[in-house]
Amino acid sequence: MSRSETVMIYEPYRRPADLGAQPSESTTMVQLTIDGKPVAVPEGTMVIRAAALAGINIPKLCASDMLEPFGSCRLCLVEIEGAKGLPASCTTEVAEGMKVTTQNPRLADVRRNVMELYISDHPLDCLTCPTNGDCELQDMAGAVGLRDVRYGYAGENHLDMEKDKSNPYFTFDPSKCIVCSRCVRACDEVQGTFALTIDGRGFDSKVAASQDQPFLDSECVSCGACVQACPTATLTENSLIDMGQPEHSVITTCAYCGVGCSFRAEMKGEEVVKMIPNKDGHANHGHSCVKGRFAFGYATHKDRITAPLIRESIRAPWREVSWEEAIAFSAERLIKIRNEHGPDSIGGITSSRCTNEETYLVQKLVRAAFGNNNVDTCARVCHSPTGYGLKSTLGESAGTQAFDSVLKADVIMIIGANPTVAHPVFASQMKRRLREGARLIVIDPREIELVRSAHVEADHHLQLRPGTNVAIINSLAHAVLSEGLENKTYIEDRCEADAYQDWRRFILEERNSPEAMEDVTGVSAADVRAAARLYAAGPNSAIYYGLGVSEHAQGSTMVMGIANLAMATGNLGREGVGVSPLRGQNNVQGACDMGSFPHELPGYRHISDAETRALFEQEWGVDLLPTPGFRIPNMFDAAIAGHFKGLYVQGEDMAQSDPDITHVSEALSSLECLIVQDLFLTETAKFAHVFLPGSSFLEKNGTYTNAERRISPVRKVMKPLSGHEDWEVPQLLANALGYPMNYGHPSEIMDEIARLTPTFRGISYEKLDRLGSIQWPCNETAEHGTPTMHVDTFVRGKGLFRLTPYVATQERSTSRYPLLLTTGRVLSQYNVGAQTRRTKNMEWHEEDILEIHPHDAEQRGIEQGDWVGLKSRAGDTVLRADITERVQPGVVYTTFHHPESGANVVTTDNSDWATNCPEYKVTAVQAFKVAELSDWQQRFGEFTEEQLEHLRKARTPVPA
Amino acid sequence: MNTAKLVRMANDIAANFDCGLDRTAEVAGVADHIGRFWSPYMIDAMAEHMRSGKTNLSGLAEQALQQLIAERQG
Ligand code: SF4
Ligand code: SF4
Ligand code: SF4
Ligand code: FES
Repeated sequence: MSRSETVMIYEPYRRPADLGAQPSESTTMVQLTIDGKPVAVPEGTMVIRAAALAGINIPKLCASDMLEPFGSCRLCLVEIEGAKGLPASCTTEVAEGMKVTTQNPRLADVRRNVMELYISDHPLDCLTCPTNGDCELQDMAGAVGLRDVRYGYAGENHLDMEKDKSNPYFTFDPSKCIVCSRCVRACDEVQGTFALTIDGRGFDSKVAASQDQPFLDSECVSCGACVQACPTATLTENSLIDMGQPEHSVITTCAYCGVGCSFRAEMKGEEVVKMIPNKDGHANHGHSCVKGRFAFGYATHKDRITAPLIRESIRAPWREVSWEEAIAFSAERLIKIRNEHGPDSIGGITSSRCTNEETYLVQKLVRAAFGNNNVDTCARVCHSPTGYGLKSTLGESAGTQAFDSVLKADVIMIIGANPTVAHPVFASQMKRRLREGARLIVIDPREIELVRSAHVEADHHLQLRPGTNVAIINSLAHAVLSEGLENKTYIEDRCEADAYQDWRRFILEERNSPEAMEDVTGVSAADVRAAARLYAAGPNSAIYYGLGVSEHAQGSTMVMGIANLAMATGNLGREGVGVSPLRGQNNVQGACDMGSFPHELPGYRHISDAETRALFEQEWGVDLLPTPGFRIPNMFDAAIAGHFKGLYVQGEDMAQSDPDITHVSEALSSLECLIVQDLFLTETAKFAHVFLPGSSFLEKNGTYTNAERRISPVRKVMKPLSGHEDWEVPQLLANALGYPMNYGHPSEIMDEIARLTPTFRGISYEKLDRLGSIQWPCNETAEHGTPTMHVDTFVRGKGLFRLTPYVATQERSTSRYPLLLTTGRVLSQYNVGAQTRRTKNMEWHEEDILEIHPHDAEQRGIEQGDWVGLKSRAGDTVLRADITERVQPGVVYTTFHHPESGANVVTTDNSDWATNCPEYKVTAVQAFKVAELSDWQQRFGEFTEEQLEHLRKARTPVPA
Repeated sequence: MNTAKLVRMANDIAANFDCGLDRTAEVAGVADHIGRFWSPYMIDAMAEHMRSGKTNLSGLAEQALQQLIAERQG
């Protein structure tokens, strides 16, 4: 290589190694020899894996290290000294002193015969086959030296079978199938959906989805596990069929949900060919869901805005300008507002969809350059009660476990969460544990999928009335204490004694008994007591909860109630137990960690703490205000009151995701300067004066932190379309405001975070590259991070029982609003849907629908598919009805993935008492049959049309 | 600022501390909570509202806010 050449080091494309069998958990080692080579592996390891670990590859087709041993293809046969016949190495365990031969003429002959049989029924169009160059069948034919097929190719075969192209992301071409069952087993064992079977026998056997239906109509959830598992071109990504093999790959992290799956972005130049879940990924171990695996097309969607836009008023057309002009315009406006209306009149909002580094910079921008603490994040509207509740009881605002901990749980309690749709990859892991025999308690007003699904059935489903969580958790605790099922030694050793005695006295009051609460919750006392006994019996009981806990008027109380119950039964501080919030978006945990809340500096340290403030003041070179700033709803109220005038929003869409949209729109319209940084013209951006184009997760470097506190790298695989990575933008703005920031790379931002935050002290990009991912706390005492928290003591020292009185929500059904509306998610869409609506995931969920019980529907003359008006004291909207018994009588349910459906026009400004997290999960409503869209929807449609016109004008060049 | 909303927030906080066990601790709990999470602008707005007479605050909320406001002036 000449001196002037620059070296681009790409990891060349290579199919990840497959060791043919899963690892063994045993710690006892076994010695054997393979082809004369001494090998030591854990007891229980299969011979094929032992060989692979020693660098000896035994040919195989039906085996995979993602799957249980199966042994059908007979290609992996070996000779074992003293054993009869030729055992299959993928189903034979190693034994002490075993002598294995993997290659000799006899084995070669047998393998060639096996391959010959397979190939005689397989098309030989390798050159034009989509998986040419990455096909295990092709590789094996090469490996065994197949040169001839004696049976000829003219006999009976399956070559003219029709392709199933129903799934938008992958094609099923049965003519290429070798019936190895890997897909069927992947769907059963890895995903847990049981959608596939092998239909028929012998020569006629073939793979079938559900009742031999097209994939799209079957139970398939499009997770892609079968596609990865398939050794041939039978199941193939459409993107691969279109583009051909990738030439390099980069490890990165999914930008959708809080599971934070690790992926290999398999690339052709700057184009993504496919996203393959990373087998070394610590959160997902090679599994994925439809969103991360397939729904990345939004990144190159035509709706992306790639140049900055500005305008004088929100009723005026946009003007496309340079970055310099847009930043100068923004800074000038912010300074003017601050001079005219005081230092408290501007603020910023960070997003859980942004990286840690971006979020950190936005809160730094607000605190150091805006000069106040008016910074908040969208976690306000989802998991702020988790932060408050866990911090005050256990001492740290985070989940206590790693995802893998579930594999050691004996009893799983799921409260207000729907993991199969919101956290699908973790749900698959949970389902595996449930199939192994763990017991299940579900507490949810709705019959979520896990209550009854393939090979999983809940022992107890406490189907409580929306809004009565605290009543249930108190009566569970009452049952535990009144029946003497608490863990006395644990409480004595680990918890504050006085607080425990107060709590005990309070919980044992008659008003908290399951019997007294029956009328409130609608759940029979006997069921509550039975569930309490099961949970207390463990021995390992783990609680997983979601937004159905936090998004309530008593969200924080409920989180504390959960922590109380776990402490009282000794279910914290080891694997298999714990309290785990399932975070909605990818970086909810990280956004909170990074000091996005107005009262907290990074690492959950209160702004009033002088010592912490001094640390930041010294590093940042400014004085910090010791008092909390505005939360998002306070910003809106202050905006309407004329006190708050300027807002910078990075990647967040309050005008769709926040409750009581009419109020939000009013607040946004009263701002003098709204700066929005995003990928698309979002609902919020329609109210903006400055639009700064964002970069997708494929276009930038950074880190995300998932629900188990795992920090994982996001890596740039293509140039940012707008010319700037997202983290550069707050820096530009800070500099324009006269506060210098000079980061050259996000790793420098992480170094600063590590310097200032004790729980991040040991984190660096170099270490992330080395270890793949790290769970914080990571510091001097925990070099490699901390999978399980609170092991010997709680972070706060002794655990604190907090009193949790049940306070009925003001949002109750009345004669005017007799139904309770609760909201949720679907698998294929993500949050406000700005990304997923711009992908083929629309084929699964084109609109938000209203689930209503047959009884309530009949009373109102509503039939399946009718337009239904939904009215609350906040507003009204119209949705299509789905009549189903998944919801109880008196309860209706919808999602908010589509702005025009206006679910949040109906939700009210009721919120959690401690954190103002909105009460999305309970709104009193009336439903009635209607013929047309609501007034709000019509106005929404007109406003959207007007704003799109303003955008089109920006893009048409003005004639000189 | 919309004081009706602030009143509702303060009452909600108080209701969640109100267990009828230890009044002094409950008042302190509410005051501390508001002090830690409300911006000064909101507390000032509340102080002004309280000077105006009828507050619509619950007993516990009222007591806690009075304590907090006195502390801030002291
Ligand atoms: S995509 Fe997933 S759910 Fe669908 S058949 Fe394959 S493994 Fe099963
Ligand atoms: S579709 Fe693929 S994985 Fe499934 S049986 Fe056929 S060849 Fe094997
Ligand atoms: S959306 Fe969640 S579960 Fe699905 S691939 Fe991404 S991180 Fe994994
Ligand atoms: S790989 Fe062992 S029998 Fe198929």
